Amino acid sequence: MADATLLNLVLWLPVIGIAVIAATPRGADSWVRSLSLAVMLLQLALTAILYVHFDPARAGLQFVTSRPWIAAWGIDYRIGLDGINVLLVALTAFLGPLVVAGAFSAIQKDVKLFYAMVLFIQFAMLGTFLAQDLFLFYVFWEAMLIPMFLIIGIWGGERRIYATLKFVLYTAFGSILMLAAVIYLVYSLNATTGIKSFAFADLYGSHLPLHTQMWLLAAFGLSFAIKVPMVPLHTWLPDAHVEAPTTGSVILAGVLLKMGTYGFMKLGFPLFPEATRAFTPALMTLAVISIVYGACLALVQTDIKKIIAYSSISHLGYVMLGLVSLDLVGIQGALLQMVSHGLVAGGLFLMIGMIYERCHTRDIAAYGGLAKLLPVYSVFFSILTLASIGLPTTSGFAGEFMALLGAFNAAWPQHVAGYDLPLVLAVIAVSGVVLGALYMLWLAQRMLFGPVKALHQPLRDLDARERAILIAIVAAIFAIGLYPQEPLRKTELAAREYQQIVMSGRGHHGSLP
Amino acid sequence: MRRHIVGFDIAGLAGAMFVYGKGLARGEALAARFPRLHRLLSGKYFVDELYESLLGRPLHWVSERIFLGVGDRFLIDGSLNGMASLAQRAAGRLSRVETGSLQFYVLLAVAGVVGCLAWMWRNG
Amino acid sequence: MSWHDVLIAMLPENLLLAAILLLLAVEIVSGRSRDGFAIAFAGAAAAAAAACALYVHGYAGEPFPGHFSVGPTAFLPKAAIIALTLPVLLVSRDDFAESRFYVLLLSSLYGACLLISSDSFLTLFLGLELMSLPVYVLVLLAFLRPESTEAALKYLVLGGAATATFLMGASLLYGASGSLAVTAFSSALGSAQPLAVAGAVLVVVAMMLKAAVVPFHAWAPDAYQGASVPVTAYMATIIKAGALLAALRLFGTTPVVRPMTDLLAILPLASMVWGNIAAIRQSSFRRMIAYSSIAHAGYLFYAFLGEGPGRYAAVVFYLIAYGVMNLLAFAALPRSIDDARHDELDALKGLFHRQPFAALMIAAAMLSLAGLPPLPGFIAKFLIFRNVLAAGYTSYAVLGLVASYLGIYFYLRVIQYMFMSAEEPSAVHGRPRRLAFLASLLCLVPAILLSVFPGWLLDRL
Repeated sequence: MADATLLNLVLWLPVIGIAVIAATPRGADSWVRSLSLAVMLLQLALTAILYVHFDPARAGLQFVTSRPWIAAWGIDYRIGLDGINVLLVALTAFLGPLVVAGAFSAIQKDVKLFYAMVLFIQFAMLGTFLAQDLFLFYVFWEAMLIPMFLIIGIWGGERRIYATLKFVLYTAFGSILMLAAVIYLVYSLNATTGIKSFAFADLYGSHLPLHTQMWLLAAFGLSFAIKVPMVPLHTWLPDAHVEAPTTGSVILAGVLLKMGTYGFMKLGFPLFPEATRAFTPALMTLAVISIVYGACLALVQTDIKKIIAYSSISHLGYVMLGLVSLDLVGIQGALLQMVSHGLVAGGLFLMIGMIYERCHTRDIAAYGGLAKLLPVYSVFFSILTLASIGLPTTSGFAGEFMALLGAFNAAWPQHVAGYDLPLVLAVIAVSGVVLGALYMLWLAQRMLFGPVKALHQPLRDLDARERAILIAIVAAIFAIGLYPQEPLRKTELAAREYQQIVMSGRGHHGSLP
Repeated sequence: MRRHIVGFDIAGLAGAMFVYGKGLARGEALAARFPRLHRLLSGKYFVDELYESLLGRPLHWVSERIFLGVGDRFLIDGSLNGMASLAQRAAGRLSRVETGSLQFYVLLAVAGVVGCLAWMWRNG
Repeated sequence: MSWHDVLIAMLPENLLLAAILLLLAVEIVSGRSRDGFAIAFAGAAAAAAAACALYVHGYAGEPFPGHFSVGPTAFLPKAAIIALTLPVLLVSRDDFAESRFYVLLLSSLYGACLLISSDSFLTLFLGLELMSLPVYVLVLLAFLRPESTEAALKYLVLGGAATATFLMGASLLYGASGSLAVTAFSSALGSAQPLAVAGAVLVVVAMMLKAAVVPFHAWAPDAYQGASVPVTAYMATIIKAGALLAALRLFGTTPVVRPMTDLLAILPLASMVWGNIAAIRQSSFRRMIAYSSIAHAGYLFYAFLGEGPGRYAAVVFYLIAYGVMNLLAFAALPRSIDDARHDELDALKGLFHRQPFAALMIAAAMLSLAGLPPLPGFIAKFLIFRNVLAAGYTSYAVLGLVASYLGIYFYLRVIQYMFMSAEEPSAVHGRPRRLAFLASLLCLVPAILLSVFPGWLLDRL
């Protein structure tokens, strides 16, 4: 199938890019930049073709490549698109060129290594989304750590060493426990059914005893919860975001954070359905805590990047809420919120990067009256602020609203039956919307409006490159916000399948083509 | 019902025309005669200040002191940084075992041999 | 036992012997110390090629029945360790050019080969001693620093203790079973006789002492630091490989039961924790590698907790992956005029800006030793822990994995110094060396192949 080759090409294109970059002579920085941008744009174009060809009416994986890799253990090189990862792959491919273009003026030293790392992390992120084999997934999952370690550590801010070590060691801890769980899971399957395979489809029907499932879900869940991040495992994020260079923050907020929720949706919950159902109240509580705690902390920050970092914690709480609601609307909302957050938070970090390049401070107190000094900047900033709050017609609204609706849909029958906790939690979650509006509008007000503060003069407004980047993001936000049916159509079958697996616990082998 | 609403509209319009129709003088005179009423009305019933003190400031205080100060900084980061410094201190102690003294090394090895034999003997 | 059989079966060893004799002959004939690199390298390369050829051919035989036998399971590890010596030889060219270095190194390698094929305790002892004695001298040979003498002495004394323990254990096993064959060990594992059990324990302890497992590890940091770079590289990879392959030969596929499993679990676990944590505070690269190799010895011994048939694959794959990456780090290490200065981690600061290739190689090596995907070290660790879990020791596996997590930090610290720190203004740099570059390439290519196509090797194990 030509499309399967296309998918492989999309995945491996960044590696080819790295090889070419490595071959360029020292000092040819502009070549490196153009080359990286070309690679990312080509990848975006190919992904767009795949996205358009993705058939929403077919369940299961599409564009599958399945080749034995380590045959002795049943590990295959198995990649494919399904309704869950198609949106995330599109998001990653979309943000790729924006990330590269956004770094043009910001990164001046070790340019070759920087773009090689950006391409490598793009490869690792796509691989994580596309992998349909547990070993392959784990390899890509861990492979993301090293380029991020270097990106934050070399090109970051003052406390970058502390922040990057915290990020890597924290994430790696979860991964180690997940590795133990992976090995245990595969060997249980082998011992009970004789199937020797790491493929997701084979693992879904494993039917382990509840006790075992709970431990395994805890191990997988720890790793994913650190990545989401869920409170109380979230403290690496503010430090990582603040100290990372703009590109690092955009990659982190735009795509890396989605790994955790993707992991829950693709692996954690469907692999252990009974345990998921048993843990649902706890998971829902943690999701709501993330929403409120993240928002409250965003309120009291003085560093702009930290505000957006904590807002990410809050927004991803909605995703978790939608996922555990096990209601179709909620699940679809969660997926949409993942994409929306990627765009909005990515855009906000890009904008913070732009203003930082001009004024070299991230302290809110230093900013004021930007609307008068940088009108075009302020327009984009306001649009992104409103999208973050979840204004209708933006993608943020669709995602948040559907997730909340899903939570209520799931909570209401339980309330009628006498169990009130989910309903209470859902009501508290709604307050998160208000808090979200509170800190974002306050941020916008202090930065854009009010008296003009004396800043690094002269300030130039956005140039053509920056405008192009932001127009792309804003267009995507409105496209999804005004017509969410289009991306949702592609995810519907996969969402139903997820719901079915987790709710009924029945193994599902229909993903094999 | 609709008639009452329209009535309110007309009354408001008439009132405004009465107070301000001929310049500010009449409005200011009225403000002087009913100072407290004026303050209440121009302060928008102090609803904003009420919200600020009932909700805004407590929220800010709780977020800053409790969530950020106690939660994030002390509990979570504190335990993380604590574990890291524990590792560092352990590293220091362990590497101090390498005293450089050969006799000590041999003692350690011999103790190990004896320990292994004893373990096997006890559990075998 | 025809001479022809002996010749073919021991072809790798014979080629090594030929190289040694040639080196000695050249030195005697010419009357002065000559450069033996070419002969040594040619001999080792030929021996590796011979071992590979014999492995592929599937040759099996027993040139000395009861004492020495060969087969594919012996030829592959032999090929591996001889091939691993090639980068060591390349790296050593700049430090040592005298024949005696090569004679000693090749003799030690010969001993390691004997070890791998041994069927009796006599041959095992012979191989063990032949492998270790030259290394005591090698540690001393460069005589770059006064610490070298001390390091050599410590290694000698503790190595002697290992030999003594081994002999004691072997004689007890002989007493218990009446046979010198290596199988006496595996039968002693299941036996209830105190004599046999004690003998088995002493033999295992001797192997652990040689491999530097806690609490027998105290000699390693001093010895590694005192030796010169190629010798440390050799000790960290080939000597360890020899000790573990000997243990593999002894254990075979015999299932291990309590309380031996306690020994095989707790001591390695302690090594992992001790090695990984103590390495955090080291400022000397070689000392850090010593502690890291203590931890790796722990991982390797863990493999014996696994089911019998899987042990061979786990240990050999791990040794190859670990050996290749460790040598890569040593080969790429930049030279400094002063050996002591050369060893400090501070000398690595800002390396990426001076020598980007070297920095990238060392970074890859560090990541592989830490066990991070997609490098071969990850697959090696996966293999070991998979076997442990599959054998049912869940808690040991989880504890082992957490212990291996503890090791990530100091490997990252090396990368941090190379990429994220500014260069020390007082750094003095030696000339870059071509042969060391060749050595790193020699290590890099298998490393890449192993990480992308691990199945190729695993299928043959």
